[in-house]
Amino acid sequence: MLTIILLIPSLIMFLTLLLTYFGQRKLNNGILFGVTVPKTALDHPQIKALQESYKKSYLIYSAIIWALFIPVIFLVKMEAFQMIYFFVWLGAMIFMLTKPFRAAFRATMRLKREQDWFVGEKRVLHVDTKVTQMKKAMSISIYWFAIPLIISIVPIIASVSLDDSLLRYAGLAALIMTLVMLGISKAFQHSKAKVYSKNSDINLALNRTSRKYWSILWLCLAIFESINALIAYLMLTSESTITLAAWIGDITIVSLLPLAGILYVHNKVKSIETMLLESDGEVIYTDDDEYWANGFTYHNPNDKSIMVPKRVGIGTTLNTGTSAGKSMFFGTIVLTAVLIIGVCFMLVRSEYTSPELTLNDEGVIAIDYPKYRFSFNVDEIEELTLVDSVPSGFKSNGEATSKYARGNFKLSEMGKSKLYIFKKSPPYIVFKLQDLYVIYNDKEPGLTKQLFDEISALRD
Amino acid sequence: MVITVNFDSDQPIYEQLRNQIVIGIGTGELASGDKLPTVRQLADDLGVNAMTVNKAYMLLKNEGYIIIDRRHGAKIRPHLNGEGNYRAELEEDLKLVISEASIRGMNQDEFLAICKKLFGTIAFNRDSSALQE
Repeated sequence: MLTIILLIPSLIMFLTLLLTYFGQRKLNNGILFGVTVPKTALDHPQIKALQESYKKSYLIYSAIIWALFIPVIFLVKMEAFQMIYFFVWLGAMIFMLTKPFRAAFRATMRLKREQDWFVGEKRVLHVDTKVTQMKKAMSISIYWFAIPLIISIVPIIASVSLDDSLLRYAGLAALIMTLVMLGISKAFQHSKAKVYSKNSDINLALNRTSRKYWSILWLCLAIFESINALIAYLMLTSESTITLAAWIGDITIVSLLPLAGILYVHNKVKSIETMLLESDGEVIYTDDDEYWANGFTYHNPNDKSIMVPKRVGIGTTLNTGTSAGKSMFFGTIVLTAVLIIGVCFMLVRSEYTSPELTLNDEGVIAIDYPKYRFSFNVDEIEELTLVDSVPSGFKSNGEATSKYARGNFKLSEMGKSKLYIFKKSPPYIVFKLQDLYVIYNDKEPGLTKQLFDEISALRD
Repeated sequence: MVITVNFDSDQPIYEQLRNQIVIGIGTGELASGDKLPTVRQLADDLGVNAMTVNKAYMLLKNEGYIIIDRRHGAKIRPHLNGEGNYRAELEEDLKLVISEASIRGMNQDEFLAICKKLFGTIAFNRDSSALQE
């Protein structure tokens, strides 16, 4: 199960990176391998050779990447190490998929200097006064976001009166997604107007199309994601058990549909651009290669905008020439590192520490486990049973892998429960307390039985 | 109209902005009454400090090319004429340009021919754009 969950996003990430970088071997908007070059450069033998070897290196690297994925499948028995290996693999994948591009970028840059392939003006910026003035009105109104906001706030309000914490989480998830989309939409609205041509009408038309399409996309995604949070809620609470296939289907749709939407809008806008600019004789070219170190990071202290449209790939990137851009750039790196290291640490800790149940002379049963410590008195036990299976349910706050479940759960038939179990080592001791179940077992079935007998004796 | 700012130029950015807007008015690309972006909008899109744009706008306003309205932003002044000390300023500017030209060995006829040609094209563009309105 975990392998499949890891595989789907990896595949999507791999394909996106591959398609993005593989496409750089063709001249796109005057840019080849992230370098602005004239059309005539394509006839140069060294460029042709570069394009050939570029194709080959991507084939080879793709093969290596997926060969390295195989251990992930074999590590299925050791989930903590599987996750750690997976993160390392992910890093290696990103490195390998960008390596040929970086090499090609440097080679093209060198050739450009040798051949003096400069196109357009350097170190200049253009603005179209008409577009700049009308920019804001080109996106659809921000008030449309009231729709996804209502979809997410209503469940939160309802959850208060229904006392349903899962519904509240679903609503909160929807609300967060909506706010993220709203933020992106706002950032797009404020982004710089693009100057394509000396002809103001063309600039107006292209900026209007691109801004309208993108703003509609962000709104649609916000609505889609908030509805989806509610669907996930319904799937979790429905009486019939949801099949694995349904979950995988849901995860795939949730991750693929936004990507497909972004790709569609990007291509649509680009095709309109090409169509209009082909017939226009006044296209403006600027050579800002010097700001694009290694082809993908932008560093321009002259430009005070923090976000700029990417040169390679879709979307925007940070301007490390500004102090805000710089701190966001390094902040993201540090945050990612901290998150990954934190997750790995927690996984390894869970793998090597197990909950420990202790019984003291005063009749207090204490279960010791980091973050989910719990204790109760023997007198509080309303019912004590030894069972061979634990009903299915979902985690509200805790750790769950295919081997163990620890923390707070909500089980069918039982409701609110605290689990401290090894899934593959029945039996389980079930303590029924007032409106709470505590389920515990040891890795050794013999020890579990022994413990059960001890507690039973204590109750009598 | 499209304004181009060159960061390598010795000319300060506010001056580049001011000059290009004046040329825009001269060639008719910016017609009288046309709206200009607000200081903030223009500064954001150029990626320069708002003070720079403000300086250019203040210059243009003092020279009588634009009107700045608190609510509607800036717009090109409807009726521009040779009022005030414009003539004196023009003579001052021309003195410098003519001196430079004569130092480089240009004679009066050549200089006037260039003036005539440029004046012709700019005034022609201006008239034709005025006709379109």
